[in-house]
Amino acid sequence: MDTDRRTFLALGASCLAAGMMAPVIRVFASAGADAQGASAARRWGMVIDVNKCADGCTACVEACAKENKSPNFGEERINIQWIRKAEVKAKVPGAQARSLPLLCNHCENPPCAYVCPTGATFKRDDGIVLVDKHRCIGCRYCIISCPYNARSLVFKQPDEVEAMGGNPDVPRRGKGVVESCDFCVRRVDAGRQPACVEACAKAGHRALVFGDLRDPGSEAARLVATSRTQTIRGDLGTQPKVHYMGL
Amino acid sequence: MQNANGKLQIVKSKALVVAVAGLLAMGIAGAWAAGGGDVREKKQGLHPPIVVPKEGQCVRPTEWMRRNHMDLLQHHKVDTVRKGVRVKKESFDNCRTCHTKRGEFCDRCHAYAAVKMDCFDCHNYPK
Ligand code: HEC
Ligand code: HEC
Ligand code: HEC
Repeated sequence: MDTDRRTFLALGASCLAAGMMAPVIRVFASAGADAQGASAARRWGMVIDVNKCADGCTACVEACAKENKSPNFGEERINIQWIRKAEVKAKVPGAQARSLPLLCNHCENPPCAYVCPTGATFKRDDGIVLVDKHRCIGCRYCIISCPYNARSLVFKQPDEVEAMGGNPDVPRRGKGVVESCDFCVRRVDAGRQPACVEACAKAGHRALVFGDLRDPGSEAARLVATSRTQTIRGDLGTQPKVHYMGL
Repeated sequence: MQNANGKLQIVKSKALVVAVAGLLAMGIAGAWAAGGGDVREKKQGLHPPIVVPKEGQCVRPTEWMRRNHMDLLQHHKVDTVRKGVRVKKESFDNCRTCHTKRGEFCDRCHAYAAVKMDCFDCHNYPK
């Protein structure tokens, strides 16, 4: 009995030691400052001030296409677009049409991720909704489930249409894979702003503000806390992280 | 007799010239294919020779890489895309800084081992 107890204790001790070793091993396996990964303490989001968004300005759309090498197939039906400009008009007499950008809302409750049969679409720990292109089988359930029409399928290998130059760090596209705005995740992980936000500021409008909604010090969080912001179809319970001001 | 000998000598020297020229051409072609002096051909096992950097080391020990590079890539793929862990040194994009052309490195082994992969459809890697 005594021996049994001793072995039991020894076993427990070694398990404990192994458990304590695990984080150490983890650190060795991935040294470096950028090895922390996405943190759940963050919630990336965007605030769009519609009053500042200029009619006919497409700086954000162009910057997005350039950064992400979105091809122009010359066919509206199959073109890939992560962000687009739309005109909205309230259904009251005399209402003015407003120009605003529409993009993936990176919902807190993303329907696209819930319906994905392979787990390719998922919400990262910091709230960014992504397609893992390696797992996507192109079934397009997510496209159907998205209330914002924010996703597109790659119908053609773009390289057939135009030789892609540009950013060599951004992979090319694969035919039969769904994609959508990823908040320029590579830039965000490097501590930079998404391409559309940068372009909007450069064009002098500063209508797009990107930041950590969980950090009270960030401009985006401050705007959401202090101004009247709205989300699109908030009634659906998707809890979008793209907020609109001045709608 | 003498005549025949002379002929033989001429034939011999001709052969020598051809051989030297051939060697030279192969050498030049080899150097050109290797893209300069900082790489070397390496014969390993049964597959055709691969081109590796003359100096330096791989991101992990060579022996380990030979067997496990696919696991490394697969593992980083999940870590990077799904968890946001970006280890620049061991990323897929970093392979091409040392193994500059996949045609004389990745593809040679893979052709021999009948490995077919679609990674290069999307990932930029000079051929
Ligand atoms: C449909 C296109 C596509 C295919 C095919 C594909 N990838 Fe990717 N891969 C991507 C995209 C998009 C990313 C995201 C890049 C990012 O966020 O930085 C990525 C990221 C990665 C990463 C992490 C980034 C890095 O540079 O380390 C690795 C590793 C990777 N892929 C490995 C592979 C391997 C191995 C294969 C082949 C078995 C493969 N991929 C096939 C599109 C693809
Ligand atoms: C810093 C330069 C460098 C980088 C980056 C690098 N390698 Fe290497 N790699 C080398 C060198 C040098 C060798 C040959 C070492 C030797 O012969 O001992 C090598 C060898 C290898 C081998 C074994 C070849 C053999 O001898 O059988 C494989 C497989 C390999 N690398 C794959 C990769 C992959 C995959 C990546 C990207 C994740 C990568 N390497 C990144 C320098 C590099
Ligand atoms: C020394 C020879 C060798 C070199 C060099 C080499 N590979 Fe491989 N690779 C292999 C072998 C052999 C396999 C198959 C292993 C298996 O199926 O168990 C493989 C498999 C893979 C796989 C998995 C394929 C699959 O279907 O799952 C990937 C991804 C891969 N290699 C990427 C690379 C990349 C990228 C490079 C160049 C940077 C490279 N390899 C260079 C020998 C090599």
